[in-house]
Amino acid sequence: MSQYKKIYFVPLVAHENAAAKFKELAEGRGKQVGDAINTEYGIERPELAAQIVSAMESLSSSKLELVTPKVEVPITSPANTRATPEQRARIGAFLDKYKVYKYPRGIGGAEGSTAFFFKPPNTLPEIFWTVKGSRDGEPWKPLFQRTDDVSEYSTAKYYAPGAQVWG
Amino acid sequence: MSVTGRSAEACPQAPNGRAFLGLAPLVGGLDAEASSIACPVSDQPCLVALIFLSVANVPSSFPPPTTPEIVPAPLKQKTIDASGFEKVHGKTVRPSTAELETVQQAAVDNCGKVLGLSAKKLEQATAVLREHPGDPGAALRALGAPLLGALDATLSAARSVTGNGEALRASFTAIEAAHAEWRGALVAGVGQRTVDGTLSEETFRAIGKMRAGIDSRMSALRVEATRLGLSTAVEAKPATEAARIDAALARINAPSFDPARLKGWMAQFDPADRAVALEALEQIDFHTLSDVKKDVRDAHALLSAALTRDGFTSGKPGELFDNVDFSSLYAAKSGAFVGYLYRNENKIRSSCFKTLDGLGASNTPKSDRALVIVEDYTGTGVQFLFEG
Repeated sequence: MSQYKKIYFVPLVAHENAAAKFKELAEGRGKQVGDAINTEYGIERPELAAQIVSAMESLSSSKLELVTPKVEVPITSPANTRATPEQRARIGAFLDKYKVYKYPRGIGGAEGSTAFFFKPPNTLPEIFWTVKGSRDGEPWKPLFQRTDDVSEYSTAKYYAPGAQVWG
Repeated sequence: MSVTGRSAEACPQAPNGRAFLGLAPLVGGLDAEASSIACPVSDQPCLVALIFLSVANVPSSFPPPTTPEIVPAPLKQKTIDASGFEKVHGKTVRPSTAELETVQQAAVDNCGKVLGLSAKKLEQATAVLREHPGDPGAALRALGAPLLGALDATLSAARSVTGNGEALRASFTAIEAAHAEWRGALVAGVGQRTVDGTLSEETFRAIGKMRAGIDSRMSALRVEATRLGLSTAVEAKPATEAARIDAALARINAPSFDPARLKGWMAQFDPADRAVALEALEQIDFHTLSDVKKDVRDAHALLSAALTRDGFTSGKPGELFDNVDFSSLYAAKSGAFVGYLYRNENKIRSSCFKTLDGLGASNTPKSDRALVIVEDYTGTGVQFLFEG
């Protein structure tokens, strides 16, 4: 991919965290982005982590561009004008109360608010999508159906075949 | 969107000792409205069957069941003459004009009460009806058609706004007024039926279909108005849990979504928390198939401008994208599905789309080419940057 003169990333919806990363790259802060990648992917090998940071530092704003019709903001963010401050506070407390698995406010605490008819992103609060949760000893039944798998990650090797796909 | 109504319940406002029926679900057709009431005097079916519509959920307190007991009768056992009045023993039973006017007023008042319409709105609606004497259906259609068009246009505009939606406030306000006027006309128009019988079943059904379309759009518009911080411009959110669930279902409105799932999901929350669960759900922006098709068109409009700006395309119609490769991050994942919709909606040749592996293996020089990665969603951007 690096051979291309320019790469356009075109998600239909981008969370503000993603938009921020592209902004960091455009402002020459590739190291911060590289560090974020290493953290998110749990990369511990120093040489690989350094390679990723170096790759991000070498990306120039003229080479990479985010093109999206919608930037999503977290549900409880003041930037979310869909909810009043009181509603945002109420919803935040509610999401924390209903921690049925590990991500009450969605993966990375993103508090995403987008669901597609074919799949909800896992950045939504988990009450909407997790099939691994439980409450009062009962399995949690999410509102939207999502099929997850680990096959694209190196961590897949730690999962038994039957546990590689769920949802 | 569900329509809540009551079949065969006696109305406490029935004048002159007569009972009339408040029968709601127009969408379900008039079959459900075939009922009769035993007259306490003659022991014959009572002559007046007043039909009205419930646009919103009927409050549980309206109207409380009262005597006399109502015995629904199948439609086939009941005959209605050309004017819409019942025939009893082959003879049309027609009440006096004074009786009917009283019944009509009771119906209008009652419906206005249920729908929360002000006297002023009812007066406006009645004025509209007067402009179409003898054919309230025409008045309803005349009011409804431009309202539907305005709703569609405003919804489309509202959904494309990601920041300040203040520019849409005037549109929202105008639609609120038009919607109230239409609802008022609906109420008064149905009341009119009891007097002149000018609304045929077909007209009722047609109006019901229009009403369902308008209601679902109004629900969606309220969501957008709330999102844009303009919720005061349109009616307040439905107050009852049932109405809010209906609104949520209308908003999701996808064949892939089972409505029963929403109720099952809600049941997992403590009763005291269900209102907040609905608030959280109301924050979710659900993209149906038609929404996603619009999304890919919007995305492509932005991309096309960027490609032309950077010299990869000419910007002229019929672009072949000879200097551009399209792909998605992973095969057989949602990005690939969106890539398919993207290609189809934007009329791009399939040969422009390749797998990332295929692009890597290709010997075509890339130094003067652009690569476009189409995906449905990115949470952090890290997956793209990492894979890229």
